Amino acid sequence: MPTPASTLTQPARATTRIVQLFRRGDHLLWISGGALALAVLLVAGLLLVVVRNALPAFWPFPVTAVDRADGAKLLGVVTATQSAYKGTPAQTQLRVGNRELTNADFIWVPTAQLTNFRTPADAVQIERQENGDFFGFLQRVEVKGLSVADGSAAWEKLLALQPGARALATQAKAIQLDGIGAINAKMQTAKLRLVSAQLRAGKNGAVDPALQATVDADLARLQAEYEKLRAESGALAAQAAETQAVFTTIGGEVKKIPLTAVVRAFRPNAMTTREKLAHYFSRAAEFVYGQPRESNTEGGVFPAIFGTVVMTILMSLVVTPFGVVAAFYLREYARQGLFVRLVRIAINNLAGVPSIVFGVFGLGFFVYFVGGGIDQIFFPEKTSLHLPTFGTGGILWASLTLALLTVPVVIVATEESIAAVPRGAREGSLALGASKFQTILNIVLPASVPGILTGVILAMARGAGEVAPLMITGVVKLAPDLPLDGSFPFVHLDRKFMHLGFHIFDMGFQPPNSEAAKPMVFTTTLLLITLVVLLNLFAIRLRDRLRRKYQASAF
Amino acid sequence: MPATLPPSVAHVAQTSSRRVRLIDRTANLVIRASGIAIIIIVALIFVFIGMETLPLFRSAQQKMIFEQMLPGPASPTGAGQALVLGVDEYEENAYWLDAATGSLRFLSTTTRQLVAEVPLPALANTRATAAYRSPVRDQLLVGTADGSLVFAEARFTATYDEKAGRTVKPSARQLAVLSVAPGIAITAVHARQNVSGDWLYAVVTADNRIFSGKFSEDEPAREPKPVGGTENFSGKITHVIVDFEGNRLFATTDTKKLYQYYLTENRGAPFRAYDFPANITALDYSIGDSALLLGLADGAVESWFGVRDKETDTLRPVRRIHTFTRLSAAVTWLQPSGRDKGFVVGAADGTVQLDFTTSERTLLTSKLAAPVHALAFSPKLTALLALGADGVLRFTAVNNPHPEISLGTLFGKVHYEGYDAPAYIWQSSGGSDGFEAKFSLVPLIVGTLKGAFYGLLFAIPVAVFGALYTSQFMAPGLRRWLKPAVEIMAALPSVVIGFLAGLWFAPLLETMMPGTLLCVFTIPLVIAAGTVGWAFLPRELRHKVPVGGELLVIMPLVLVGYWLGQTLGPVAERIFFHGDYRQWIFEKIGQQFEQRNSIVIGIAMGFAVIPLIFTISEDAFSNVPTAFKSASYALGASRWQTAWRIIVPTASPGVFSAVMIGFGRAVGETMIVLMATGNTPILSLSPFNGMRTLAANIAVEIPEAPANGTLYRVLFVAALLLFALTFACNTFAEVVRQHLREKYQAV
Repeated sequence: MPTPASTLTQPARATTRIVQLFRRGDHLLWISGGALALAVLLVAGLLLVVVRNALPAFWPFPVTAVDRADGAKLLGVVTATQSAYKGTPAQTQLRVGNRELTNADFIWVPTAQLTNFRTPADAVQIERQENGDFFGFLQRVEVKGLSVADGSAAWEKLLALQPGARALATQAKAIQLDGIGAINAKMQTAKLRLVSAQLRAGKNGAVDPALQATVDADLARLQAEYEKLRAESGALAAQAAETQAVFTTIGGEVKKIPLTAVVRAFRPNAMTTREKLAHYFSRAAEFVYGQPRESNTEGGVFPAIFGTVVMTILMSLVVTPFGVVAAFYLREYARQGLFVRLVRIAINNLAGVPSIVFGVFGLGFFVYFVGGGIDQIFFPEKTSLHLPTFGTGGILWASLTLALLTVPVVIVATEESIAAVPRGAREGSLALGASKFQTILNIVLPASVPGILTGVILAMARGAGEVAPLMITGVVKLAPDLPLDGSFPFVHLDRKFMHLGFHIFDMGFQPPNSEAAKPMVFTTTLLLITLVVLLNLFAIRLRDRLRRKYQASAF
Repeated sequence: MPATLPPSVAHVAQTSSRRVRLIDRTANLVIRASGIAIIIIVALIFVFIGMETLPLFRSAQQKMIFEQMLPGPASPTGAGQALVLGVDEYEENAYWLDAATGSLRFLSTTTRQLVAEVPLPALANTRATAAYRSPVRDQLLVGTADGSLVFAEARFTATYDEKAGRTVKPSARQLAVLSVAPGIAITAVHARQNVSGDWLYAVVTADNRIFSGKFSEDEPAREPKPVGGTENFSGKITHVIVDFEGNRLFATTDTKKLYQYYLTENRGAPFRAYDFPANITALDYSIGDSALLLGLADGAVESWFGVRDKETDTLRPVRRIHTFTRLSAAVTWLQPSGRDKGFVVGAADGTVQLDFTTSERTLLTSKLAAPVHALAFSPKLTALLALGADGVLRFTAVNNPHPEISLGTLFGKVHYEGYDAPAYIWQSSGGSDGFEAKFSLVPLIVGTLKGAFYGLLFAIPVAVFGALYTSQFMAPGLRRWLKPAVEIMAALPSVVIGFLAGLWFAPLLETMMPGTLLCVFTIPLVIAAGTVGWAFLPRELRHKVPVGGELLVIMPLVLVGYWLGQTLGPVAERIFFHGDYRQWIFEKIGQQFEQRNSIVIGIAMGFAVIPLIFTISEDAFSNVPTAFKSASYALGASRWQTAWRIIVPTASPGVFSAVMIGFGRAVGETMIVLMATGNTPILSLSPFNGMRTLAANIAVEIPEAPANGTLYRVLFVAALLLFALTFACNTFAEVVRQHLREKYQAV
């Protein structure tokens, strides 16, 4: 109230206005708006946190060398800082890597103890096959113990030799995985033949000696093949291991790293933005297409993506026909009355039953009851060795469990879209002499396809994001074999599988190395959120369009 | 029409119409059948889960395999010659110590013939007067008439042959002999083996003295030590038992007394003496050696154990904890199981009764023709051997899979061994053999409700007020922009929320708890202040924001309120909590602050529940007929007055059903609670610690639960509870909603 004149009139008016405002309840109106704003901000905040943590995960940040107050020199990437809180001083977190030398990937150091920050251009960061990252300075490259390049030439040599060494290592690994794996599978089959013959012969009967002999011969032949392959792969690995890079750590320790163990070698401080971008996308691509390494904390999540997709597709293959038929029954065939009303309430409520309850049902019914039964009948030889086939969690049981869980979604969406088909269209068809089924097949069903699709997509989104029932019906943290592959019969419904959601749970909840797992778990989270939210938004847009269309065409 | 058609067309029309009708009828049938089938499948879930829990409550079954006279040379004392009974783990051999011949006799349970007889050398020149068999192993301790202790064991070697299958060959050997009281007969013995295989034994001698000691096979024998104070006992000592530490010893006399010793503390005199209404005629420890099982001459069967006393901490007097079905005659034998907290008692009228301590259940009863002389379990508890005083041996197959479960142990307070009072405890597995499984669902139910409560505490105001604002005050253009936000919220997988809440939010919240709690006040206050400030802004500026577009102004205000709260938080913490709220909570409320606490759960669960409550209540608010609103405005009510006095009361049943559905979701939420709490099954309502919910408990324990075991089935009970609870909530909400919809239609 700057002028004396206004002091006389303004306060009175202002008070009245405020009183009026409170009497009208405008402040409460705004506060209720605040509740909404809070909800929106929470969602935005959550997404922001995920994006903020996920996006920089693959970026090559500068490698910093720094002196600690106790005289130690540290080399690593600054990953976090924490301001002082209740007696603990401000701290800086460094990723110093070299796990096998220092026993700690990540260290917290009071910021005040750190001096002389610098970013040496020749600092090398190495992403290794195991033991996490390595930070150090390249001295020379050796082949069979003899130096082939040192000084500045060493870096070029390392980059030149690394792909070849990796390729050899990959080849050796492929022999181990595919060749030896196949032999193991064959040996297992041969042994099972014997067990199965024993079972046929009964407890006291003798196995046909001829069969015994063939199986023994087979086993001997396979064993020889196995030895051969092992020698081959060993030779390859040894050849690959001949090329080594010699590093010194900032502390002066010498460390030899075989190039086979080098996934990526880079000098972040010397990289141009362009190179950094290329590095970023190469790692992002590995994340999507690659296999997990280092107990899932590095590498890619391809098996998890693949498992999620296959499981979701299997689930929708089951849930779609069932949901649609049930909806048509309820809407078109059942006599509308108390019973149908009750059924409808029940189905609506089924959507509210906790997913873990479905998981328990899936475990008890599908896995132990149905799966155990199948094993008894079809795989007696394996069952007798306590090797369950279907009597343990697997992708089929997980998909069926989720199908049950999502069947209400499909039923409700289908019913809604059937109801939205204009009566005129239906009556027109009947009037032209079409039978009820013809009308449904040719008029009602095509018109409700977008609605059904909406339901199925929503069900898929739900299925992709669900974890609790999966973790007791077949999801594992690391599945060596994909549920779909090139070996007969191509679709392995009994296999356990990996899942993005469970991947997050496993890495977030029981990580072997929680700091190292953090970037991966956030990127996986971002991937899952994107997948689920996109599916949802797509389904909802589809439904909205559908609703508008029928609002216009209703008569 | 058909008449005018050419015959071929008519034919085609006719056949095609027949085909159409056939298809139609088939389709009708198929769709009906599969529709009904799907509904049945859905019902099956409930039925199946229920069926899986039923065996828990079924009582045990028994089937008599044979009954026959004890073979071997007849003895004038009848059955009295068999001092202890046993069955091997394959249930192929029953054995007993024959006092007359001093040998172990083995009877095949398949051929019912005597298959072996092994004399114990130490019994060649004297007579066995007392014997005890370890309930865990086939090992025996025999007291003799000349005051010696004989350690012996029965062995069963199984060989597998492709032709004959399994054959079990019994054998026995004497391990050692120890002289306790030369020349004085031993009248009662008891022993335990500790983890390193040493024997801790206690014996009663005919001169009414007790000796106890430790015996190890590889060490030189040590002199047994007398237990003092027995000269002052009022009567003849009848039983003695000692625990596996050789410390806690109990003795009974024929003058209705029980004496308790702590040997390492006080060997010279009993620590306590207890009076009973009748003589104790059977006494032993249940497995784990912490609970006493007593059988009395009046037929009473009781379990006693130590409970912390005010003045004594380590030395605990015992108290009667459980009582079991009373027998109608004196108890003659009490045999604890070697695997669980069950035991079998026999009475003088021939009754054999199988009881379980934790659940106080009587699982089986049967009756012999004569007084029970001795009893034995097979190691797997699937067979029971009973010997009558008339020398008749009865071999019974027993199926007793879930003895520890009763409605009482699932939902009531149970006094577990080692606890001072009855309590609700969930602890499904433990380290030792003597572990008593604790299956109380109460802490889990309370945890579930607690999680849901804190979730709703945060979600209801945000969701309901948000929905009210959206439906009543918001500009439609803005609403289109807002909807995706809520949809994204609804679509967020709960594993993502749980992960962020547990790993990112919980540590963060710990450092800013006071500020966050202050936000509950600062955000509304700042918004209210903002309203006032807004009213004083120039008209032109205000008109730039469209009607119903206040949200654009409110959103920054929320951020300001949040910032204010966080800024004031440390100040408030200094003033009210002396600088550290965690310390304050610990000192003033006496609770340990946990990082993953109910406040974290409340906010995280809010993410899962808010969109549900929001959508349904928004629906309810929007469905209130516009006439109500118009009438209110016409009467001069403000926007808020109309919303609060007209819309909210009218739509309240809808809001109620929204809350119910939100509650149902919160109750069943698994991943969020699993990841964002410590999952400790404690019984506490404090917001500063965590919980374990029914759903999280299932997720944690079912992967380790063997199929069809007790834990497995108890987890099915938990699932059934969850199912019933959510189904009831949702059905109730659905009925309310339908009712409301009909009401609006009428308006």
